[in-house]
Amino acid sequence: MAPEPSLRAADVRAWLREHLTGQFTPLVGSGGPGREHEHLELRAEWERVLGAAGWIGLGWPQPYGRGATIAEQVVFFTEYARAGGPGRLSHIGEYLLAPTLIAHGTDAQRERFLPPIARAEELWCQGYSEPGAGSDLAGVRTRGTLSDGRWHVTGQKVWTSLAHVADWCFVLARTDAAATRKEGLSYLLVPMRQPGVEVRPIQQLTGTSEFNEVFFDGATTDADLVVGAPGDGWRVATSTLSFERGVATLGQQLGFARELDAVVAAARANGTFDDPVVADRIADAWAGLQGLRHHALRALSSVEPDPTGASVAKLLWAGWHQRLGELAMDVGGAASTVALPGEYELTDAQRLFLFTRADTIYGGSDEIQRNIVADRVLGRIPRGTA
Amino acid sequence: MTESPEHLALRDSAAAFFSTGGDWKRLTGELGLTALAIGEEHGGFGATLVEAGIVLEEAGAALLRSPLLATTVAALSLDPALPASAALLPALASGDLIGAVALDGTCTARPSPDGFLLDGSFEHVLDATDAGVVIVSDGTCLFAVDDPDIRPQPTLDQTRTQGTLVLWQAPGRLVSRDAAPAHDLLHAALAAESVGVARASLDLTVAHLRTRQQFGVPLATFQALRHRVADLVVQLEQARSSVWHAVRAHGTDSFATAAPLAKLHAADAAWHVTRASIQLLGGIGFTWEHDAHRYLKRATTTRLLAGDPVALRRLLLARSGL
Repeated sequence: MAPEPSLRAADVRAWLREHLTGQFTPLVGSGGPGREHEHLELRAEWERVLGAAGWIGLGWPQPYGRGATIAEQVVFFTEYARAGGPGRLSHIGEYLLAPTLIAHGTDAQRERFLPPIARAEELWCQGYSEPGAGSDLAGVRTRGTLSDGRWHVTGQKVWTSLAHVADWCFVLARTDAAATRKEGLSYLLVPMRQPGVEVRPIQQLTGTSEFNEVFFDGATTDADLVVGAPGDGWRVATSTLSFERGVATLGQQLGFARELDAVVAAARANGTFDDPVVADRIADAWAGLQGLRHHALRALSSVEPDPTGASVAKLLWAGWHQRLGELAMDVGGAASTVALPGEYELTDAQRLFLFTRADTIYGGSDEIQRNIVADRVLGRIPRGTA
Repeated sequence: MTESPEHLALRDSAAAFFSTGGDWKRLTGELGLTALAIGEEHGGFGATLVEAGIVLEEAGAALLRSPLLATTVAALSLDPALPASAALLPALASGDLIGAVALDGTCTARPSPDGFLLDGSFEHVLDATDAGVVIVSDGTCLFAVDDPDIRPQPTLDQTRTQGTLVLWQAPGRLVSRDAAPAHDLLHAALAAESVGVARASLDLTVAHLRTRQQFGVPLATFQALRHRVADLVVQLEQARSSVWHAVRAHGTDSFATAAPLAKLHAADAAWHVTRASIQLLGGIGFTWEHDAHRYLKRATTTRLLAGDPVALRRLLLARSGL
């Protein structure tokens, strides 16, 4: 059997040129960090166009997906970002749930859930963090009980991205009341559109809402919609985190490059570029971005993934992005303190500065990432003892 | 992150050899480390800067006292198509000839019946005490000068010599019409070496934290120290990635930005790690006996020579196209 022709950048570019146009033109450059609230319905429709063309599940192994190599996925992400493709809505299902189902799910679960993810007919959100379980995820208190052949879920999740558009949520819930910490947790698949689920947007310091609180009050799901064995949810949930090898980061970096270009343009326009101190910081930002790219390329080329590589990469990019936001404000000077006309309309520099405060918190705070790195170098120690 | 079995073997054998002191005769003859990246037609092994970089990293980790880096940079700076270069390369590859580079100074070259006559002066010529040939830049071209009279300077870092070179109507042979790649090569070589310096300094520090007990427990259990170490690991990994990319970019246009970028990141990482090392080691790190200060002095020296961070950022900004 002849191998499938490999994915070529020119083909991706041509496809995007043909499809990211017409009714989808307003989506170019929309969505993404700090702008997740934009054009939600149109972006959901765009996801279905992506899905119909086979762009979702690109990296899933066959027979579930196209089995694209890392290099091919990089090609897709790079071209997508270069074309200004909008922030994705299906990525939580595609990159977090699907690999989990492929690794730990049943055949029936894979057949039920993977095709609608790939067609973007069902969007997902992640129900991990809780008011009392942020960095300390094992402190989850949302309860799942099995009765009448169904799971009944009660509790509160928080910082849930895209919960307001999601059809399903994978929920880490405590299903064994007698067990504590990492024992007795289960990974449940719960429909979002039912009476026992309420989604409340969280208004952030940006004034916008990309995150939500999700209240489960007796929400139910089928008994067989637990991934892995009941009680094995911690292992299933944490394995999800190791699936991410940073393929998407190269695309993310093109967005970073655009943001840096905007800062440089602003510095040239107001003359601060000629200030040697500002020029030095701009050069440092440019060098840092190149460094992020080289780091991602090295990670992707390594024979086997470094278990702490994701933490190192997160610390690098989050810190870089945050400093860029600070530089953007400083370049503007006093003018950076004036917002746009409207109720609370931020400038790009203000949004970058403010939203990047979250970069070092979500997805594992800098402090948690440092713990993970230190565990490898200095040996593990129990949390809360030092 | 793992590397190929061949690269691991090269790294291990270089590290094992350097730990014995790195005798020049064995380094060049038996191990052929100066011949690695020189083309086979010129008496080398035809490997690349990737392999040379691995060896230099290990040399840095061992704080090797050796003209290895200088000879490597001198050899790879030559344009092999020029007759004077082709004449030098086999002896540089075999190690019979020790090379050095003098790039930052004032120098003028004028044609003479036998080649060129050079007038100029240079400081901070690295590891050149025993150099049989020095590759000199007049800002545009590179020239080979035999038997240079290099006067040693007293140095902060006692694991690496520096010297001054004064040329007065010194005969030189044209070995490259483009001086810029020599700077890039020096940057890449110092960067690779700095990764080794940072890694070895961090290893020393980590070993101390894991064994030294205070308050009845190992220092490695204190989160204030763990997070500092984690930040050092992050800087080291960034440096590794920048060097990883730079040595692979050799021979392409992007080397002109990749090499100074690698020097910026790697020298910075080494400087951060070696300073933090002394703090994390506590009193023992402040003693002459401990190696911590040797790493600090090498890192400080590397950071300030051949382009300090401000100069490198200025250079990068000019080359970035921003």
